[in-house]
Amino acid sequence: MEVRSKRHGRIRAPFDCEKGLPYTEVNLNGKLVENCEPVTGLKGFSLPFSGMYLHRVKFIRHVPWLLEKIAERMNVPERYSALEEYAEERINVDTLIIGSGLSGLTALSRSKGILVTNDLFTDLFDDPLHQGELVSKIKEVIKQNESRIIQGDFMGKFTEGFVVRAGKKLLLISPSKVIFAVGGRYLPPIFEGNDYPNVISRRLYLKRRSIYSKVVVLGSSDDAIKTALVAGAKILIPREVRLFSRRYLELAETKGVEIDEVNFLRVKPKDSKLSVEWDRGNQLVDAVVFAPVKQPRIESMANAGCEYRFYPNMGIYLPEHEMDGYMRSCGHFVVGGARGIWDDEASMLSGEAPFNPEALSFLSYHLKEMPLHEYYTRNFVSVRSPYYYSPGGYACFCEDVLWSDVEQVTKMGYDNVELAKRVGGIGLGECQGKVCTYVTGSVLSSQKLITFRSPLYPM
Amino acid sequence: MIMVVILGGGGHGISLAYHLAKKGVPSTVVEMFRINYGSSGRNAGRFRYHFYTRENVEFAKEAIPYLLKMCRELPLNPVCVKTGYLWVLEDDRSLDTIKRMDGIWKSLGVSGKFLDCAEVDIKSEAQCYLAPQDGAFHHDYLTFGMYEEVKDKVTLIPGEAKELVISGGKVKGVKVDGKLISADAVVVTLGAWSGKFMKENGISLPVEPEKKEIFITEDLKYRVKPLVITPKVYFSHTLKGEIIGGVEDVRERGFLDFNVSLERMKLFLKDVRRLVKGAEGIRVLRGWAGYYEMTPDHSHVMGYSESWPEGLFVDAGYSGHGMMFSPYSGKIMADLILDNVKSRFIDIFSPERFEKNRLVDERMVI
Repeated sequence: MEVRSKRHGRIRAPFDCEKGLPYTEVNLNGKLVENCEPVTGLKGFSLPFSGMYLHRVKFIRHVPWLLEKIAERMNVPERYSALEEYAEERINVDTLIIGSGLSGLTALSRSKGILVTNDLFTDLFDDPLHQGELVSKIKEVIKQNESRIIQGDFMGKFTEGFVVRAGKKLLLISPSKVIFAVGGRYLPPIFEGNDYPNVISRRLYLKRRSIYSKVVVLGSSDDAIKTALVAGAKILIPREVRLFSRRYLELAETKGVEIDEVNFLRVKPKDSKLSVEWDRGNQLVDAVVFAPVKQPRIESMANAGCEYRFYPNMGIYLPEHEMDGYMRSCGHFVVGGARGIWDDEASMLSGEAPFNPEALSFLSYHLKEMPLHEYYTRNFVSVRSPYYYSPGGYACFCEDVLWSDVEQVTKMGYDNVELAKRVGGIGLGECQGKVCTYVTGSVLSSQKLITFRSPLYPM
Repeated sequence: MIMVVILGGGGHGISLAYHLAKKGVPSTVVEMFRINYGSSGRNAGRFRYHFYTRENVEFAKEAIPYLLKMCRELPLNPVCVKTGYLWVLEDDRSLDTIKRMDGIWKSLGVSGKFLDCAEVDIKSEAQCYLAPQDGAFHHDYLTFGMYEEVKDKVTLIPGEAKELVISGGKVKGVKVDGKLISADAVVVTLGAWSGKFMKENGISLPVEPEKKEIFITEDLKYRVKPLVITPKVYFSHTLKGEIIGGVEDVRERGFLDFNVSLERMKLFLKDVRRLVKGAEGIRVLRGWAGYYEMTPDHSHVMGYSESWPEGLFVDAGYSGHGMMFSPYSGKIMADLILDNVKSRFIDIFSPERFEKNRLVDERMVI
């Protein structure tokens, strides 16, 4: 369905259908509706004015009613229909696993805990490159442990304990150990036109593969190569940003996947397609698919008091953890994509690691081949951000903050994510910084993001 | 030139640095985390003239116009808007209080009016009281706006100020993480941490932290202009569309953790959903916690005490209404420190009032 952005009136659609990300939920006459529909009409009148006008145009301060008039015209809901009350229930669990996927389900099969997930059938099931064996093995784990799997949302830490929303219940849990298997996500890079519908994540592309015939892939990760293989597409990477493993680079070469370095990138709508231009070429495509790097979903771990750090070798944020997944700062564990792993085998091994020393040494060996390895050797080297293609586009899709606004506040000296939030207004919208803080932080090499506060989803 | 070291980079610390710089005097600000980290970046950003005591109303009558003037001038726009405060008088206690206050406020030139809540789109059968002079602003744009203007004259030192260095009854500086920073004047603008710092240096200053929680909802078309105060909660609508507010309860003093509680979130949501048209099923996007910096008479402390070492000043203890006063207090403090000009408020809100038992007796903490 057609959704217009809050301030600029841009046509928008989800770039990924993960719960809690921008435009995945739409308010229709007061009712909340899940939205994961592709959009066909791409053009419409919009006003991409800079948020900095609020400060720069002094005239605004002398016309007190003007901002109220603007507020009344913003694209925000008129009403929210009454909701049912939640019943609260305290449950006792020793080990709580948050998130499914390979690592979470492996951890479940190894422990006596319960698992909470709002996305049991992750993109693993959509990827045609996966052998049937792995998928059927994981299906078996789900089947055998069904009684210990709760479909619900992890809402974060409260004075009363961790809160999980499951159906019409709020579960209050104070486990002695939490295993974060929350995975990672692909986030939209920075370039002009990065907010158009059909500029989508690898995950969403895999779900919708049948409706797109020609695509171009953006990304410096193995998953970008995997996507290009599935789509028969070209890969564009920002200059000098190659986070591929040797194995996948060789694979790309054998299969003839083209990888182009880009200094400039712009995407514009053309009829129902997207016109992609870069310094040395252009293409007309049905979708621009991005997999720049897989960014762990730090927010739930940070919310639970676990420390994280900027890992400059890949331009991502990683929870501070040891090889077995233990997070000393909070006493919990992290497995799989949530600790930066994107490889299936390593992911399963990481799910075993907290329970099985043998898996630990396999895992350690396995990670040696990956750009993640230097996290454990503490050999930190800065690379250019995998998200930065060229100036332009949007930093924040919820509140319509332009990338150029972030550049302006950065020039004023507010050059980390927290200050870009306080002065530039990123991280304050509907998704509460689940997208823009990571991307902005990566480009600015910010050591920290924002404080990810409870609840982690609207409540 | 006088060396001024300001402890704490919140609204009051930065405002003092701003006013010193405007008089041509550079200063040093010692900040433990970042500008506006403490209570200054955690409040709901509202201003009012309506207090329980004559002293605070009179202070507001000078401080609020000063805030509004700054709002028009700073390089960032603090978005000061006169929205009004609206009391929803749903129990006898609040009705009695406001009836009594109405006469006093009239005599002080800040009268409000009684009306039906329905007139201002609040879904309550009760009577409401509107104080139209009050309003809203953006806390970060205010402090960062002041900082932006004078940042080339301010040295920010990251770290925690622990120890006052005193010699011959005079302040000589302060130790930050073991390192001495020399000063002719040290000004404590540490908000909720002020009492703790003074105590550690052997001086009694009754400023204590009291934990508060604030919640913010998803967007709703802008329609509730004033800050709404019910017997249990307060909330208001931001120009961005969110409804922001908290629960009015008193809890134990101390540096409690910054977690938010499900219990208070539910209380907040209950009144928002009950009273705001269209918000019947609105949800909370996030909550956060911070401290009010409470004094025994719920009024701030500014100036110095004769019993303190010379060169030690304080500006803290605003008990929930500090942010709105930060521009004006910075001005008064700069006049005092540089020019020895004593505003009448320096006497009224002096730290000596606790020793001399001349308390201000403010009771309207919102």
